[in-house]
Amino acid sequence: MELFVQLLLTGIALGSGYALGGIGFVLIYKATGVFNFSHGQLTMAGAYFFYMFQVQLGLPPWWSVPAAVASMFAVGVLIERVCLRRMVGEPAITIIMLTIGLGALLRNLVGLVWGTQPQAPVPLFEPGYLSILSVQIPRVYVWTLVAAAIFIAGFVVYFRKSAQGIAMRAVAFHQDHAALSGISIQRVFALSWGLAGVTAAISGIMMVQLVGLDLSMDARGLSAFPAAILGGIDSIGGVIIGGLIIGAAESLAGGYLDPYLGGGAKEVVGYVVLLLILMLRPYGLFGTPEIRKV
Amino acid sequence: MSNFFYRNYRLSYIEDRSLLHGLQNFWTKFWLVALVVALLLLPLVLQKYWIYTLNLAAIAVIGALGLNLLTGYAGQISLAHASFLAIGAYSTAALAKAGAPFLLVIPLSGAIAALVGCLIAIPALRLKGLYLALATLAFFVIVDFAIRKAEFLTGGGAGTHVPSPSMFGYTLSGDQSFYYLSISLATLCAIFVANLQRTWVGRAMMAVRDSDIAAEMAGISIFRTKLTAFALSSFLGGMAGSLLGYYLQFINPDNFSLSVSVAYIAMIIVGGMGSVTGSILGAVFMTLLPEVLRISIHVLSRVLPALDVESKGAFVEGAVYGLVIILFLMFKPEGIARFWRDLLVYFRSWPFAH
Repeated sequence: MELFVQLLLTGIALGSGYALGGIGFVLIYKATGVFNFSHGQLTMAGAYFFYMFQVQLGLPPWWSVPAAVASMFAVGVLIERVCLRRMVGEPAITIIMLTIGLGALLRNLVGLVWGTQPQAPVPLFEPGYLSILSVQIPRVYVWTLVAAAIFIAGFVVYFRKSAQGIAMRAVAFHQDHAALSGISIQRVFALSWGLAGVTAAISGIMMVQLVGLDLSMDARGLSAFPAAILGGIDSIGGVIIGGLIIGAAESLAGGYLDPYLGGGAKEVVGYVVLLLILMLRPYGLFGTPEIRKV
Repeated sequence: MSNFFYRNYRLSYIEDRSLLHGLQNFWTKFWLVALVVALLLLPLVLQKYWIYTLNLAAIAVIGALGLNLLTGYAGQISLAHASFLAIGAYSTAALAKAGAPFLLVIPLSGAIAALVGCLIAIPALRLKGLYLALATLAFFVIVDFAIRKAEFLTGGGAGTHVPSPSMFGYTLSGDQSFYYLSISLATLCAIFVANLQRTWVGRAMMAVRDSDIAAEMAGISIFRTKLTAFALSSFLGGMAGSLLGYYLQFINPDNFSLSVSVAYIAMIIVGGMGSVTGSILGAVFMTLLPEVLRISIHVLSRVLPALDVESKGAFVEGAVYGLVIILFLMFKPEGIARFWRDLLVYFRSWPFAH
């Protein structure tokens, strides 16, 4: 039982990272109709920016967070401006391949700049354990969960209350109508990519706290896929729950199945869930059903 | 000498039905024969390393034809092509260890991959576009996991040895003899796919790609068409994997990573979707690109030693790879095949180019 609670809590902490990453994805998909396969690499780039500001440029640890977030916002806007803006209206495979190409480019640029060695940024949270339900949980996990909750709440408020957030929802709802009521579609597209960069940076920084920093991080960023599909690709609330479920499932599978399978169950369980959900309910738990019979 | 100038119209039904258009012209026949002769003579003049590269290119051509059948003709996105190569390669390892003759092993490995391909077609029948891409991604991850875990068959992460191709006591060894095997198989596959697109089956695939509802209305069974596309595509992928296994002689899961799937998609995009010429040109281009890059990196590191590009060669290659995909998609979405066609038209109509 103690093992179960521990695995569940660590899984939820990891899952909150996925949820945050998944928001970036859903954001782009909702606003621009692009499914961003380079999100894992964006997450990794965010984490490396954090490392650069904190260790290589010597900013105070907490100041590197806004610095990394701001740079990733710029990266996101740049990607939209240079690549995606020309591709509006192209078929799905073209756009998917474009984001895959972007991912390859980003990953190798990161490798080119920072090398293959695992890096060790200064931890943001003090080490140690917290006792919850008589289970010892590393403090990092608890703080990560709290930080994720704050950021997610911030995003939800932003979408509901701010003018920009409402404009983004309007564009997602109906592009032509939004344009007719004076919303600049191009600005909303750029903003969506920028905000996706922001969420990627935050989830990247959080994952650095949990699992360390090296070039395999983009695969972890990919775990936001199952999260987004499970929750429903066009539902912000869904992706949060999806992320938590996938994180918990990965952690539990790692704890219970790995002794029998000899490791690796953690990486695959998210995709098993993904395949099942695609076969049974492709629009996810909370997504809009797209009724199309062929 | 009436056929000395290019004639791009057909005078008989036989000409119209011919596989290669333009065969009525002297120069088309001339260049075709020249190409065949060049392909046959190349290994006699090239260095061993370049024969090796050509072998990889021929294998890539087979795999790219398979993926183009699925993506270019039938319109189904797949990120799982590397899995089919892997299944073909590991089947080859198992069959070759049992001592089966290679001319049997290669199609058999393809058939095993095709069976698994039908399996992935089941979710694909309900999904399209983005969701299909994700389903095939999940399929890839699961196959990769299975290969790493089924150590008794695949050697797990450490990999396994593949015996040299042999038949009735004769063993095919060396890059040169392998070259003739791979190039003839690649040619056969290219002719097969080129023929397929002229048949009912190929046309049904294109109809499903262009509009599945209209295709269904026209009496095409979407289920059967998608299933055929997946089976044939994974058959070709499996054959490519089989050849790759035979050629590398040692395979491990890293030979079939996700970047291999991406590389194949890059080939058909750079080459040209839904085109046999495109598959061939794209596969050759994407196989030669790393070599050309490697040489230019080497030269660059001589000229500017301070940049230290040599130690980071793999990343430079990867970045250029990604950049090539992006640039082609943005500026030449119809690929090299289109470029090639325009070039041919220019020379054919010269000096009357308009």
